[in-house]
Amino acid sequence: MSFPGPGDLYKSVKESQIWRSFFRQPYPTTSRTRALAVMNNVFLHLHPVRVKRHAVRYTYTFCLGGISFFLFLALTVTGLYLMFFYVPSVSRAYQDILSIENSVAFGSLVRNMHRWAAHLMVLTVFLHMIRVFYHGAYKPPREFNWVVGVVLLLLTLLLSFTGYLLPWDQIAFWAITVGSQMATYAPLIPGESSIFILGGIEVGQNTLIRFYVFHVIAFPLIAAIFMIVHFWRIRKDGGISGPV
Amino acid sequence: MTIEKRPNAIADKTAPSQAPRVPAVERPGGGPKLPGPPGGPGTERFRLLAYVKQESMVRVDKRPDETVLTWPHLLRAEFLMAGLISGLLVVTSFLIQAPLEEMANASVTPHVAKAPWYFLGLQEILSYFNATVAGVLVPTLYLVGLAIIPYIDRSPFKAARDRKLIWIFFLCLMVGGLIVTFIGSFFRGPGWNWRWPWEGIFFNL
Repeated sequence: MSFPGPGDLYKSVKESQIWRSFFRQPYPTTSRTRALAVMNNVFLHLHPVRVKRHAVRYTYTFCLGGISFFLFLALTVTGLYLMFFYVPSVSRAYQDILSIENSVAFGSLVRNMHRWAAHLMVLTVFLHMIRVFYHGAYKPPREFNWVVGVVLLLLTLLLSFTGYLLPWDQIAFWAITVGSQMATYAPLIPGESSIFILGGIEVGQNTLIRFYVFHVIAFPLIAAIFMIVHFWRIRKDGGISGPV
Repeated sequence: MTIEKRPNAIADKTAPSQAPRVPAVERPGGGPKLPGPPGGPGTERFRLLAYVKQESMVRVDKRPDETVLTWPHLLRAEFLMAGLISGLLVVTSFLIQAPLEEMANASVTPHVAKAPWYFLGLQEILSYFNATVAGVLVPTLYLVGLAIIPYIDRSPFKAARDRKLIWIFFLCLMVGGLIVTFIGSFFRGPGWNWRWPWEGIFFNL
């Protein structure tokens, strides 16, 4: 008489209806199942089934575009957590940052991660642009994707800039005061640019809520849309560009 | 031109089975035996299927496939990098605290108010030109200049020596931006006066 061992348990789980309804195929080990794994998964099918051999070399891209996108995702997750404990009000914002730092579980770690990832993202987006220029990857048929990339660079800067005000400390207040003073000379509506950007003649409650809304919803959403176009166009333009 | 239907097509189909059995030919490397020619060894007949000229449309020396499967090659690189960056981020965040000063106060002006680091180049330019030039004209032209690069450089060549002009243009934007950003970040102190880094750095991340 034999008792069922761990192997039998493993087998019965893998063959159960529940498991097989989650995973349509076994772990891919052949060319065919590996191709299917990429095609059938909604996240993986962003990729083509096959990529050029040079494209997976670390020293070709230094993964800069991928790292920028990954940082965007990391910023979304950490930012979501911070939103639970932050109220964009002049009287509360700074206190909320203090309590995130001191009493929220993992608050200090998550805030630090959000801050450093944001600075790093500005850097990697710039470096990504330099890499793409170096390889001449903006050449036909990729001209439009380069333009989309420039828009994404601008959006990255705007995301970082609007987030910079939110801690509502002296660094934030004066950096935004100086930063937006430069932009208030824009001839949008003569003399009204400051009102348009800051919601008043100086940085205050209107500015805070304005920057907050742009930072947590408007700009991430617009950036996500441009990213979809950016990634889509890579594939439609024949994949990653070739070496110089 | 029409092709005539052969009346004995069906008879042809059955023909091979009526042909006399052929002795099997031994292949040099062993393996399954193939039927030899009907007349015995040495009576094989060959048919010219195609004559492929060198330098014709059909590539005889086809190069090996220059692609690899996304799973596992690309995905392995991506997951490795994602893990690496996550680790780097967590370790950095444990070690270095994000800056936080006193609560915002409009009536307490700091020694020097600096924009976020990526705008310090603009702030530096602001000390040379008036606000409309530094705050509006320069950033707009910078971004537009970047965006129109593919429409300025229309040659199909990618090597640096074949596109010197656009390389100079791009380097001017990058190096110029880097220099003014560097000066604005580390060489400017109270009142936006020149201050060497060893005399004190006024810079926040």
